[in-house]
Amino acid sequence: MAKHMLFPDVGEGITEGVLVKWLVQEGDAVKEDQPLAEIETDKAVVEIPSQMHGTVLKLYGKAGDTLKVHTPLVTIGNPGEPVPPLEEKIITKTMAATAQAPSTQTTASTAPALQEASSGAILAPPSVRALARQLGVELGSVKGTGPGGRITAEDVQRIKSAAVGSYAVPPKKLSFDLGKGKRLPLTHLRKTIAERMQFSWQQNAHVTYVEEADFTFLLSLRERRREAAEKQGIKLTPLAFIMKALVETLKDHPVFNASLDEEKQELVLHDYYNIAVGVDTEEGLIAPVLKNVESKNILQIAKEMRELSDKARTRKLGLDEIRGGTFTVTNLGSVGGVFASAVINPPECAILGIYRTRQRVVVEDGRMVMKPMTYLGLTFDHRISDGAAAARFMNEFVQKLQEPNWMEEL
Amino acid sequence: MPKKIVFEGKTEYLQVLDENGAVDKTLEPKLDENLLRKIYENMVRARVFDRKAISLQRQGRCYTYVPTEGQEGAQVGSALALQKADFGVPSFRENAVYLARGVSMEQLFLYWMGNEEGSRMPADQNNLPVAIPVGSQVPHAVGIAWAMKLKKEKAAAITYFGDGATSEGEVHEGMNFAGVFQVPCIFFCQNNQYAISTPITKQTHAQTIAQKALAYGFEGLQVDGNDVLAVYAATKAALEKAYSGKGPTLIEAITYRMQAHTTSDDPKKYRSDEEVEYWKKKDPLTRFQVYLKGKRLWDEEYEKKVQEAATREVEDAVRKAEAYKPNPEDMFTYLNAELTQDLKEQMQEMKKSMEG
Repeated sequence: MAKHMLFPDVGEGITEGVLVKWLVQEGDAVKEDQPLAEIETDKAVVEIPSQMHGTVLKLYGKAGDTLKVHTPLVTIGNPGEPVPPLEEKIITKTMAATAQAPSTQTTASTAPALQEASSGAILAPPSVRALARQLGVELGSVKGTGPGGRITAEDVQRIKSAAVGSYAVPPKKLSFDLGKGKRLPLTHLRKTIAERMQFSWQQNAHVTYVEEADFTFLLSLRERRREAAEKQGIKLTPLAFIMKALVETLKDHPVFNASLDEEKQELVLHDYYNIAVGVDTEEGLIAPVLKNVESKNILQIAKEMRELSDKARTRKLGLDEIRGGTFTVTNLGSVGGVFASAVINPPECAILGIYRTRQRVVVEDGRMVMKPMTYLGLTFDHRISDGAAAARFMNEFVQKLQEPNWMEEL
Repeated sequence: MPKKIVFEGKTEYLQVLDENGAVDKTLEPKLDENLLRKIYENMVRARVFDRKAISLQRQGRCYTYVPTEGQEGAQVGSALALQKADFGVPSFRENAVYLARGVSMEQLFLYWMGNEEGSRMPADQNNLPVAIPVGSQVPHAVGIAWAMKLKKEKAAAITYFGDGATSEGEVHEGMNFAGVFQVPCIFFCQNNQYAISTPITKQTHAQTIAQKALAYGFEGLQVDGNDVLAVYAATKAALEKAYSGKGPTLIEAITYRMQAHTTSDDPKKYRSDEEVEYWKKKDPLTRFQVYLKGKRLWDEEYEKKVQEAATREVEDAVRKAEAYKPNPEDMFTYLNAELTQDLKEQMQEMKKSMEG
């Protein structure tokens, strides 16, 4: 008799975990207590052992997925046995767990506590009180979003970034009549994008600097090398050359391959170049990270970029393939547009937008000529570098792209 | 006005079996074969129980569990030195103490599975239930020991606590009282190097925990807590002292918790794999196995028998504990001898909401 095993609360009151990897496959025979999966919760990475002897009939989810507590993890039974439908009880639980979008749940359950917090005692741990003092934020004006209405460090930071002059202004929640249109639940990916982009937008002082580059020689270099690459089964794209030129330029301008350690008030200049590249998937934007681009040649970059974007589209990326970026490239030009202002991918401090290469008329030696021109936009955090630094970065980058012979043998 | 030394103290360290299982003949306690086997079998039972409990927790069949692995030497060695009349007053990591003192695995599983019945220690065994608030159990033990003294019983109380508890006020209040009133109490501190993530170096600036006893006017000694013979001998000596009216003793057992603080903890965040490997070599079971082998009391066949018996016992206990059907009223009725009015009302409310 097949049995569904649910993902248990392995901490004290955890609500979800990320599936790190399966330790068994469908069809495997397993014993009671044999580890089935590794799951990362906000407390630890834990192995989940089997509740019984039997054969794994079905695994629910894949590496990288977020699993809600008390939703199905595996079904175990006899070999070849059909997977029985989930019992009513489990389905209800699954739906309840999915419906608990963190934001709405938090608002609902802590609402009374919030009022208490603003009318009576201020609930905040000492570290948050210290932070508030340091930032000059009046805790009485902060609404806590932590458990029971506790004020968190993020709450204080949010107030600080919304503050005008020395007055801390709590963000006002506006309510709207949203009509009766069809309602779609936000996917986990959408929520992650929302959280990261909002954080970045509030945290960083975004400035976008735009320059254009003549791709005549870059495209002919690509043509010269295309056939040799194809023989190795590699589709050579201009992006591979752009990434090589980018990393070489970053080496001379380390302030753009960096992260800000706000706590220590220090800038961390990374000694490696892990370039994240935005990939447009059906479910939304994913930015897999190509690690150590500085040690890779053009063909390797093209090949590995292709593999990463395929994995992104089929949602097969491992956690280590979406983490650890030091700089991001967004190739929006493959879809359209003249140029756009991008949002920095935290904890990085700059992002490069590459836009569509178009034949345009430019003036050269007093004559009008047609050239394949490309806009390049560098969005950077003005807290840690300035416009002139961005201009110098772009000058070198554009030169490397317009005179690409140095990449002939790379 | 002369200046002179008014106090000088010393703290001894005792090890009988080194980490390779070599014995110091001059210090070796003379224990009969049955007791030696009993010591070993209880360490194995505790370990098999422990690993099963962690696995059950990860499967959602048991709530937060506090692992014992690595501390079986300290726990079994001290527990088996006790007489039946002595009182055990554990904290929350003493699974091996309870098992060695005759508490059933089923009883412990009931506790860790969240049943109130798990805290009802058998009346014919002198053990207090698990104490979760750190250090809170120490004054209880001192009180029990004081009663023993007033009743002129030939018995002692032993209380267990960790290195972290030595930063709690109750532990010091308890030790001071025990020193002043010379009560038959053993303060058994398992220094397992970490209070959750706080290392011993941040717990005290003193060289040892044992020396703290000197300030309260009684003896403190350090033992190798992974050496079950040293622990047994030290506890026995402290008990003899207590029985003969010579007051309390503090024993600091140097040991290491091989697993997480609880199943909600991730030790990788605060200690290295190398450190864990280093302590693995000091495992209390391995070295005692070598000792027993030298006495021709251990071979592969015996090991298999002991392991199988422990596994059977555990499986049987899990089955029984999982079959237990708790009554939600237990939450109220197990709290006080008589229900207070507000608890009565709460219980009625709960019943009503359950019917609705």
